Amino acid sequence: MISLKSKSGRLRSSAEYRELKQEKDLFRRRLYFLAFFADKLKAAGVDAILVGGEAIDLYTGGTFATSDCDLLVSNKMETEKLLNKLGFGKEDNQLWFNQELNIVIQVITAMYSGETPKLRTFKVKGFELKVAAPEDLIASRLYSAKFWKSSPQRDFEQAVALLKIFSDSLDNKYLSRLAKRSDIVDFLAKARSYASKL
Amino acid sequence: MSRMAELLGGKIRFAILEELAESKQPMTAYSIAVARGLDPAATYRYLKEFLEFGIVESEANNKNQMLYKLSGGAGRAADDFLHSLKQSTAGVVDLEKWISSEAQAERMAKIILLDKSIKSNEPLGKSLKTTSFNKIVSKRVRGELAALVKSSQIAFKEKFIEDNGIFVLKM
Repeated sequence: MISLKSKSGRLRSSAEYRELKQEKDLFRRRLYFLAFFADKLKAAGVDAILVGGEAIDLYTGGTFATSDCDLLVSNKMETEKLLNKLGFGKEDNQLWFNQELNIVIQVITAMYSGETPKLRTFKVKGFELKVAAPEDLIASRLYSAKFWKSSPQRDFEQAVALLKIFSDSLDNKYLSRLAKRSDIVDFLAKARSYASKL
Repeated sequence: MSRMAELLGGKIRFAILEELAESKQPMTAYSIAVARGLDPAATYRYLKEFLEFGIVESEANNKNQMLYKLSGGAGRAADDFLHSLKQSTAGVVDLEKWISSEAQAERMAKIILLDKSIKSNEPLGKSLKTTSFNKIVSKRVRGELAALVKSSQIAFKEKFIEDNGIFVLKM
């Protein structure tokens, strides 16, 4: 108990945590925290990948803002222990909130559905964060738009935006393969056509 | 990474639907997860998706726990479909194929069509699909999205520099 408290104290009194508290820009604070956290997780033997809305927010420079950060992890228990040491409290089954930093993390334990070599890396002050590939995000957004329909316009627009922004560097063969696998070939064709006219 | 592991999300969704279809009473997310050996957080997340989609309904019990059951419309259609699938696949089932995204998408599309046909008394296969696309794109002027995309590109370049394929945040 004493060692847990002291470790927790060490993390929250670290230079990085102090810097995080002073960072006024929420986009930068989130990204810095996620990279710092991913580094701590890696040291504990846990792989972490940023997926979902926050990944899209990164690729769009903060234009498509989201409220929480979906983090796919290989070990939920270790992740939650570390979140706890970093001042996060459990809000819901999988939502963790740090009031001091105003950051919400959603811990997800499913396997990454894309190809791991396609992951992109973001770096903040020497800390690295693995982020879902734009191709996987496009496919998942189009799948949501077509089948889940909770926010089809938002999902479709985010897919179109990523198609346009990464038009020079996307692996289109990989994306077409994903579309075929998820039965969204029709939506991908329409999104590509829409993006090409922007 | 095995293909089966890659497609775990699909497997969980259908395990939840099956459990609810077989249960005689509403269940908590946790009890569904325990009954099927699923991750409770993932189960909760997928139930939220099903709620948005109208496949399940929820109500709180006297302990303030959320209970879930299949809904009368899309949920009943899902139940009917799962039963018919069981009858038609009484022999050997290729699990790898069963949990594949293609099979999952096909089943989901059939569930949507079943629900639509139940509500509108239309013959199967006549409703939905591409009409929803037109609705999606009609809600925003093309120029608005073009401006958003351009703004995203500028914002990204302002914040990051690319170094050997790694995006480094400018300080």
